[in-house]
Amino acid sequence: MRELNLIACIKSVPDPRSSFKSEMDPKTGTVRRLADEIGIPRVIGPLDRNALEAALRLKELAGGRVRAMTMDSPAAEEALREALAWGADEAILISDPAFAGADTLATARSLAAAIRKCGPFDMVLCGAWSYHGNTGQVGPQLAAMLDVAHIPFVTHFEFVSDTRVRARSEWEGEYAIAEAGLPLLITVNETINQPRHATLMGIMGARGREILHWDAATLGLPADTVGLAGSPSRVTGIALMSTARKKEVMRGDPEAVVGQLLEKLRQEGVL
Amino acid sequence: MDFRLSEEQKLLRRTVREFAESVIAPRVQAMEETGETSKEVIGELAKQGLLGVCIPPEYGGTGMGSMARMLIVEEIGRVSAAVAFMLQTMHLSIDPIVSAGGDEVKKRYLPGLASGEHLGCMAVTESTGGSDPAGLRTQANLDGDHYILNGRKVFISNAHVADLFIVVARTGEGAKGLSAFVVEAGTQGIRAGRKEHKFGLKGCTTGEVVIENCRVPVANRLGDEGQGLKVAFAAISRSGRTGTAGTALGILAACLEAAVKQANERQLYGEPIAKLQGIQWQVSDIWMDLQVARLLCYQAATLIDQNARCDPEVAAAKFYATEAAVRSAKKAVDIYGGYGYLNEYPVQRYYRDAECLIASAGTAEVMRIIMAKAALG
Repeated sequence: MRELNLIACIKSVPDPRSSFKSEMDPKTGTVRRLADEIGIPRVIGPLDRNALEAALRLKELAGGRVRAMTMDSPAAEEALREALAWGADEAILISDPAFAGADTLATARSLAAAIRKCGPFDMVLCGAWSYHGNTGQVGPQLAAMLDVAHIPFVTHFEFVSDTRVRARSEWEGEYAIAEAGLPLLITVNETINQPRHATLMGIMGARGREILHWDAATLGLPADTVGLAGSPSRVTGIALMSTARKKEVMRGDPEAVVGQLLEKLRQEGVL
Repeated sequence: MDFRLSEEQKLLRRTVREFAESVIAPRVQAMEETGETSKEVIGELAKQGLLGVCIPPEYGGTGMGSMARMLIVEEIGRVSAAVAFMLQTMHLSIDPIVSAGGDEVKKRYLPGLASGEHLGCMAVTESTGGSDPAGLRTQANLDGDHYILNGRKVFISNAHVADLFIVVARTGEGAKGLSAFVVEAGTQGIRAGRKEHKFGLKGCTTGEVVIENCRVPVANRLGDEGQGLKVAFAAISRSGRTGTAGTALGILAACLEAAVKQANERQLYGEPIAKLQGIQWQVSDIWMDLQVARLLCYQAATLIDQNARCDPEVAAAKFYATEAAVRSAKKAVDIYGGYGYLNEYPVQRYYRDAECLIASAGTAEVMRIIMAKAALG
């Protein structure tokens, strides 16, 4: 197997172990980073951990290079430092006040520009969706902008040749086997692997390593293509979803009640 | 003074916390039931590099030092005090080799201790009591280029999993008549003896080390002849007491989390018991004890990293953190009411584990003597 040039796109999120409140800015339709304000640590997002782990395992198998990349505020350095401690060779922070308020399309546009700046690549690996926005759109948009094949919701993949990957995609209880040639983008599910923990040697190794900072000018992106200005969508509101069990007691002759139950289940679309 | 952790220390804490929750927590119940050390856990600790935190990089460790070690032991202690205590005991056995071992001894043993290929334990205490090491009876008689050791050590943590023993034995009279040796477990004449049945720290075994005509090369002596007590005391203060204090910190953090959870979830008179001042006083006491213990422990660890003389500060950290862990665990059990007494809730384990720490690495009274000497001059 030849050496691979790999890029893991990660998103730093407030540590899921911590509790904090979210608040929306009604003017911009973006979520205020209250977690940052109260000092909740930033960690690599849950599925992005799987993406980075998959990239690192691939590098350990074939050799090559793993770049970890994120578009965020400077607070995301914490997560990139963790990526270096895991074994990433390079960490890139795409950051500019102009990127603030970016929707998925503007985010993908900035990431695509940064990936192009890195030069030729073999695979881009992303989490299938983020812990924050949960849209699952950035990965596919990025693949389209880079004009490469995309295999979504990957739970397993293997190389069938030096330049071709076979992957198993799983969603909503179904699965599909897909093949695609390199370069390629995959978005991964949490069952693809068990992400590692940084070792002490890794943490020591990450000490003092440079984290590259690229802004809009570095990436050659006009102001109206990034951040809020470059975002065609707006969040109009955030609501808390509540779920409650529906209870209904049916009384009477068991045979008649069973019939009623079956009818009810049909009406509800269960059967 | 800057009390904030550095970015690297925060990453270390977070990483070890994740590791402890995903790797150690699922094995705690089995350790509780069997009392046995989990070999799998030791393997994982080694893989993460946690055994070699105080071993210099040239011998295979990371040399991250005492403050990093404090964070590690605290985070592991938050999930399992037994594993934290086992780990800190391994660090304790490494300390005399790093501080007093010759280059050959360091090269021979430290890489294996860093990688987990070898596990160590410290064998000082005898049945005469741990608080009077000057009264040790184990003999080391010089015979050519070997010493012949005879004696029996008690209350030795990790004795039954160790590949290396750091043994302190008598080569002369009085406190200056003691010497320290590295003894490999496979050496004829040394073996683990009776395994004790403890009511806490289940998963960190404790027992006897029986030494009968055990021939140990002179090259395995740590420091000069007669320096054994100095070597052992320095290691016990620097690593044993801080490690015990770090374990207690972990218990304190776990007590606070458990107490807060129960206070917020348990309903009484139609609202969470957290609304009751009687509960708030208990929770605030635990919170305060954790803050004070952390400050003392982090101060002690930082002073050690600065090579400062700090036996009284270490004694204060060990005394306060262990006593605070016991009283906070008692409060956590009380907040749980009858449930606190059930095995399915962890607070009873915190209480049992905390009690074991009071007498370890020097009793509370010994800590008071050290602090009194510093205060009175």
